[in-house]
Amino acid sequence: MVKDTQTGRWGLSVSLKVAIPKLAATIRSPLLLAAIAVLMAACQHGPLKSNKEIVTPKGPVRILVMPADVTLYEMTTGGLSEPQAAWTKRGKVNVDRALKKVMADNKSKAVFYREPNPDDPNATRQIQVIALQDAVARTILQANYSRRNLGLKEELDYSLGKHAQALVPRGGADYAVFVTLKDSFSSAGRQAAKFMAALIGVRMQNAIQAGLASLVDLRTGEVIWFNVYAKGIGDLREPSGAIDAVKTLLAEFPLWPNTQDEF
Amino acid sequence: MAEHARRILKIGFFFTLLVAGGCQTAPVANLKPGERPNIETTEAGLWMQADRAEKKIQRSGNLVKHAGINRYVRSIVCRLSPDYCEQIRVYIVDKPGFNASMTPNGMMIVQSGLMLRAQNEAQLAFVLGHEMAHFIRRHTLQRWQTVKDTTGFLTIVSIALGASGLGGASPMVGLMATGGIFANSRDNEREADGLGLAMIVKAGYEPQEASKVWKHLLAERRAMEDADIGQSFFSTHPGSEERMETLSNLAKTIPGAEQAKNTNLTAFIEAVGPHRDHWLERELRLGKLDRTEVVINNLLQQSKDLGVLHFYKGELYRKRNTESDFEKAIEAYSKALTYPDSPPKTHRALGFIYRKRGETNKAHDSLNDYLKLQPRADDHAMIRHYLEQSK
Repeated sequence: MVKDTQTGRWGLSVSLKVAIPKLAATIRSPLLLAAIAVLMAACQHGPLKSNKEIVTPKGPVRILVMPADVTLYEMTTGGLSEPQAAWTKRGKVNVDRALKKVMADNKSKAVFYREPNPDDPNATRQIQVIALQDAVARTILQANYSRRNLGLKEELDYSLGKHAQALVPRGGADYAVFVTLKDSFSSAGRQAAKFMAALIGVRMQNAIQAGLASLVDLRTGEVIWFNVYAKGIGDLREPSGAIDAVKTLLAEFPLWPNTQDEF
Repeated sequence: MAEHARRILKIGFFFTLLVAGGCQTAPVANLKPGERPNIETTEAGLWMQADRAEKKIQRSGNLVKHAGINRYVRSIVCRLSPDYCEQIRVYIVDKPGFNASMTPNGMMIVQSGLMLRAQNEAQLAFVLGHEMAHFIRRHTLQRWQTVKDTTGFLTIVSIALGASGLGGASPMVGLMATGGIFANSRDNEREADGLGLAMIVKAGYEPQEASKVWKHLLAERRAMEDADIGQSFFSTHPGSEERMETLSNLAKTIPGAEQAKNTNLTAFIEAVGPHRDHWLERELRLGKLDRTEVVINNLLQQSKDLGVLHFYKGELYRKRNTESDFEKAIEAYSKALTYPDSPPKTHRALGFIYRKRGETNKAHDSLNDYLKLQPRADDHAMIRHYLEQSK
């Protein structure tokens, strides 16, 4: 965090520093947004499925829906992503509602994650599993969607380990779905700059919306399905925009009742 | 003639954009005690991200959870500023090296390496005050505004230069503007130093201790061979030398300095002393031995925890292992043993060195002493085996 580790970006880090007021925290999240955009531009491909057979339990599949990680930004004149608290608050409400609706529309038996009390002995384990999932999702993004650093990995072969079971709620759940959504909008200054740049034939980077979803088998901890997208349209500040985003992200979700017979 | 007119037009276009892009933001007022930014503001966005970062820190395995040391650091924060202390949350992380940081929402992170380097409470208080000043003066917001304005300005200028056929000049403008960002950040640091100093004087701490923090860092930096890495055009912090002199001069003239004489050494040693063993071990593991030597020598000036300090001096020489370092290590370990707080592992370290040098009897005695003090040590079986061998 501060990864550590957490300076160094922007070349701000010099030896023996006291407390650079942390821009890093602000900067890191948009990096995911930018990373998805770059990666998607580099190699456009759809969701990844693990080779392992998805064992459908008897009866309807119970999906644990994790609280969505939502952040909205304004793209400044210079192209920085500035986090927006009010938009994010609205976006978060919209996305969580959209997840509920899309799950219901697809007749899935969805359970929504509830944070445990801090004194619950399971609380720490859950927090660690969620943190691990975050790290694994970033790794998949790098390894399976980026040619730049590691060479492209074709296969989806990752696991959170058996500790994933810590997430199973009292009523039970078979799978957990994790959703991250980022959305950005050009400021007035950015729009003006884009307009002027267009006059001299230069195209400037657009504000984008990006999403990431990861489906984990709670018995084994294996990541069995993974999807990312980035697009230049959409608006998570509106309920309908959030529904569109979730539908795009989960379009090929393998656990919808009507797609399950494929397995 | 048309050529001429087009040129004037281009230059006019360029300057209009230059003025439009270069507008400055109004100065930022202090954060008021208890104030939270309105959710619609840029500042609220920065707080939101900082709140998320704080959640991550809370689950970090590196967090120092020891209640005593946390209570102690917190008490200094509250002494420095009763008005803001409720808004500031201090997290001590177990990490070598000198660093601390502050986020706009009031999360302060202090590295154990910094606590290790402080010689007394006044020095620690100065660094805490410096960080608190970043919070009160809203430096993250200021910095974000500067970066935002500068990058915006650069974008506009690049377009303008492109439009007027002067695209080649873009990198130069970029360099100048980026230098401006770093200069602004150095100004923030100077301001935090000044406010930190004022806070410790008000709380009764000896102001001359502030400049010593930078003096010691400077000595550390000089001890490292690549001493020139810190200073450059892009340096975010003013040079330690400059800070040291500025603070030392300020300390002489600041009102109230004559009454402020506290260093609270006793309370400081009581709270920090028990952790020095572990923190020195972590510091040594970094492998920057020449630098750590400076740290230990600075701590040895104050005649506390001498057994532990001399032991780690011995460890440092043993690890460095050049020329006469083994002799120096033996000397340091032996010195450590003359103090009541020398750790039992000092005997083991001595024993191993003697063993390596073939001084069997001395090795036997030292290892024996170790086992007497730590009969249930993790490595007791191995040590017993060595003892059997050397009989």
